[in-house]
Amino acid sequence: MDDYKFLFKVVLIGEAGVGKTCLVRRFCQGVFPIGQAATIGVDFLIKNLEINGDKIKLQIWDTAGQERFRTITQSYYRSANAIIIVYDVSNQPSFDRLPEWLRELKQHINEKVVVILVGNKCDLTEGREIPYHIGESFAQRHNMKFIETSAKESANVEQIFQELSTTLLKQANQIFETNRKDTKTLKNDIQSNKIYNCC
Amino acid sequence: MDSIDDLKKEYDSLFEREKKVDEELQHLLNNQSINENKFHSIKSVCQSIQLIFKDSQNLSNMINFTSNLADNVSNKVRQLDVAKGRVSSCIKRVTDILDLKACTDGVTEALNEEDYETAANHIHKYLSLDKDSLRLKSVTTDLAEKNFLDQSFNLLQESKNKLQAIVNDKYDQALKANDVPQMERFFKIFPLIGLAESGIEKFSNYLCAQINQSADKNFNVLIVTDRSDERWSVMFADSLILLFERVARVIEAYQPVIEASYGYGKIFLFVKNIQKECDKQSVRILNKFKEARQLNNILRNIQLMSNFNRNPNPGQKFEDKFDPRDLDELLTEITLISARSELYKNFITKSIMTDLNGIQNQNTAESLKTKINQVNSFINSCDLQCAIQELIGQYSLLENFFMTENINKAIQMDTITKDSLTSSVVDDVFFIIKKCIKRSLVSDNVDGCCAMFNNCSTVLESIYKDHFYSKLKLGYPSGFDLTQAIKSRFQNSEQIEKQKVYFLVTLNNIEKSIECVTMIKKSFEDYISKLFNQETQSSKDKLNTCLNDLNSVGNRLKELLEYGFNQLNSNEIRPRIKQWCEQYSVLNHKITEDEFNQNDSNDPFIQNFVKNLDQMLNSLKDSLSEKNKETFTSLLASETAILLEKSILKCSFSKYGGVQLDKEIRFLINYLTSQTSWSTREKFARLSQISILLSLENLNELFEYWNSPLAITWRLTPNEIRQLLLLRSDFKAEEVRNLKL
Repeated sequence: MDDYKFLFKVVLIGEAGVGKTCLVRRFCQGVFPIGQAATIGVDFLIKNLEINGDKIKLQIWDTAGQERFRTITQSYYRSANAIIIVYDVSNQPSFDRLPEWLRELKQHINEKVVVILVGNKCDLTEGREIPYHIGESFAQRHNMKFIETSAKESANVEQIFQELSTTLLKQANQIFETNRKDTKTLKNDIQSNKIYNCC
Repeated sequence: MDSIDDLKKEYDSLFEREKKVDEELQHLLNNQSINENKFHSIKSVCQSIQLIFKDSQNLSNMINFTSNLADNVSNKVRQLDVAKGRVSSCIKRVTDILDLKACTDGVTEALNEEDYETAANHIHKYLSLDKDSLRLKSVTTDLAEKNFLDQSFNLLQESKNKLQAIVNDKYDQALKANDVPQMERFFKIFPLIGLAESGIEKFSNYLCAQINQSADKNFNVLIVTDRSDERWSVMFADSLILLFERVARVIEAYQPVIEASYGYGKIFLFVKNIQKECDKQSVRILNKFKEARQLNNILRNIQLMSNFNRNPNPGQKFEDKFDPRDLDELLTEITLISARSELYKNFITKSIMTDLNGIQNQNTAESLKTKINQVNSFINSCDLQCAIQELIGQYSLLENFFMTENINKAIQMDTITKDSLTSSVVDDVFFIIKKCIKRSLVSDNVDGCCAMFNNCSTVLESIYKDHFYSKLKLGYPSGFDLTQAIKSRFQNSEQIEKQKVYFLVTLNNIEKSIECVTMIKKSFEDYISKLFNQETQSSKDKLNTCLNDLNSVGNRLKELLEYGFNQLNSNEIRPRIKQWCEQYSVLNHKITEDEFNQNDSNDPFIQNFVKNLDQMLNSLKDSLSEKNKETFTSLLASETAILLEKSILKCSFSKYGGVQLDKEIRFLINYLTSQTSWSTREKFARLSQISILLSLENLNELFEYWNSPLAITWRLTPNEIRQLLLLRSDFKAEEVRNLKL
């Protein structure tokens, strides 16, 4: 068994061709696959990280963007700790479909899930259709973190996962600590009660 | 010489000298023979040295000579080698030229005789000649040879073009006449005359047309099949397998021919061409399947129904709420369709891979890897596989609906049978879960199975868990809880009894469900490792990861079980035990020895207390499963220990009161130990130590237990010990406070 403190499930979603697979490959394997074929079904990769001394394991589920494979990918939403919604900054329709993605997510996830919005392909300065501030304000409106990346030039890719893992880790450590404190204080309470209640 | 004395003196000294000389002489004479010997030996050595000197001179001469000789020889060999190289290149050139001549002569002749195989072989030889080097060298040589080469080349180039035209033409003729042997004959000639790719293309077009024809026939049979046919419910799966078998047979039949005539590495192209037709035909069958089985209609209804279940709208009604059981056949057929296309996929992958591995002297492993990636991505994204993947998506939606609806029904019809500790819902639900997972495994599709595992976890963690939670939330009606007491006034005792049974059965249900989840996980783990043996590691990881999510379902259920026992504890166990313990604190514990002895025959507390515990244990024992019984007993023991301790702290003791307590605690531990398979002593460690403290003869005796070699591991802090000792009315408070602990 490998040794880690927490395991987090991360699911990538978004329209077909926005570069989900490229982001994951860049992050997990350090490569930019040229001419990557469309993902069919769901791909699965593992990445181990260490954040502030805590070892964590990321289970990354890279889903197909095409509508016709959607039912399979939906089954992964529920158990996800974090969702990365990706759009392509050079492709207006991929941005316009975001509200629909959010609606779909709401049906399946609980509120604790960390959601992050990623505008990919920011290296395409000429073809850009969605300015940074538009993406950013959309993310703010829907309570998401926002980041622009380029899987091709390896810009900000690490940051998505770092950011996300840090947030998840903070959450998990809080629960972990309160649980421990709870049991501790509970024990103390019982012990002190035993003596002082009655004397 | 002056006097005789002087003479005498002189004489004496001379005499002395003579004696000395004599001695020396004697010594030298003695050594003579040794020296002579030495001299002799030196002489003989001298002779041999002279001999050695001569010999070594000879040797050096000889070596010099040999080295010269060797130099000479090697020089000659080198020259010979160069000569040999020239000779062999000369021979090659002569052969090449002879070949060229033979080709030139042979090709015309063969063409005249319409012996296309021979002609093609000549052209093939010509194509494999190193034309440039032949020409290059001819620059320096005479013009006649240059002319000859140019002529030959031209002629052969012409013949090649001619032959290509003829073979193309003849093939087309054979195709028109549907003359298969002729077509196969020319199919083998194509690669010899530099037309490998177009050969494969042409021939696979023909094969595609053949496949098309037979597929058409099958399709026509398919669309007129009616419900009375016994294979009606799986006829589309049957039709697909017919198609796949047909295609597989074609590939199987021509793979050896292609590998023999075209060499290795051409099957990918061939399969690619054939797959086009297979895609067309299979998508046609799948579309017909969707139409005939009204798949889209069903999916739309399911979508509406699940939307309705999420946001119930009373105005909306489903008149045609169809029975999920009707889906059974459809689901089975889809999994069969998927399984068969997986089988077919594996077949073509294997065909291409064996062919790729046949290529000799692969440039690099890297190029093979890229090729393999190309093949995989082609196979996975061909129309057939995409259509199947889409179908599997729809399948998982249907299967999820089927599962959820059946589980809902099982929950509605949940009944408790008299002799069973659990109710029908557990068996029913896990039967459904197993059935659905098994069916998804039949599909052989990794993503479909993963989705199914995910959906199972979701259903168990939501509907199923919620069902139990709703039962436990009501609590265990015991009459001790105020809200329950109010409620119970409006309920008759029969209803209360019923709710008690429901509560306990639910505890058993959860416990059994935890077991079932573990079992399901385990059995499908084995199943998967066998079934998906050939899948890639990442696919296997994917499956196992999804299956492992069932662990978290188990954990959620464990939490729920804990919640249930907490309910039971606060509704039933704690209030009752508290009541019984309170009786202890009203008793007098400052008793004399006489009173202590009297208690022997007339027990004031513990026997009744244990009797009460025993009654409570027995009242629930038969309604709880083995594991829950253990949990219950353990809970009972913990609560007893905690509550009794509280009561003790409210009392004041004499020494005999303490001894009495010690006796009572032992009695209690013995009773509880007899009720369980684990040791109760741990839970009563504090109480046992309290009874030791309270039954001390005097304060000094404490140090037999504290800081002595026989010291026990204290569960009480020094402060607690002081507090407890203060309960002894005969111990002085000041002395107790001054105890050095």
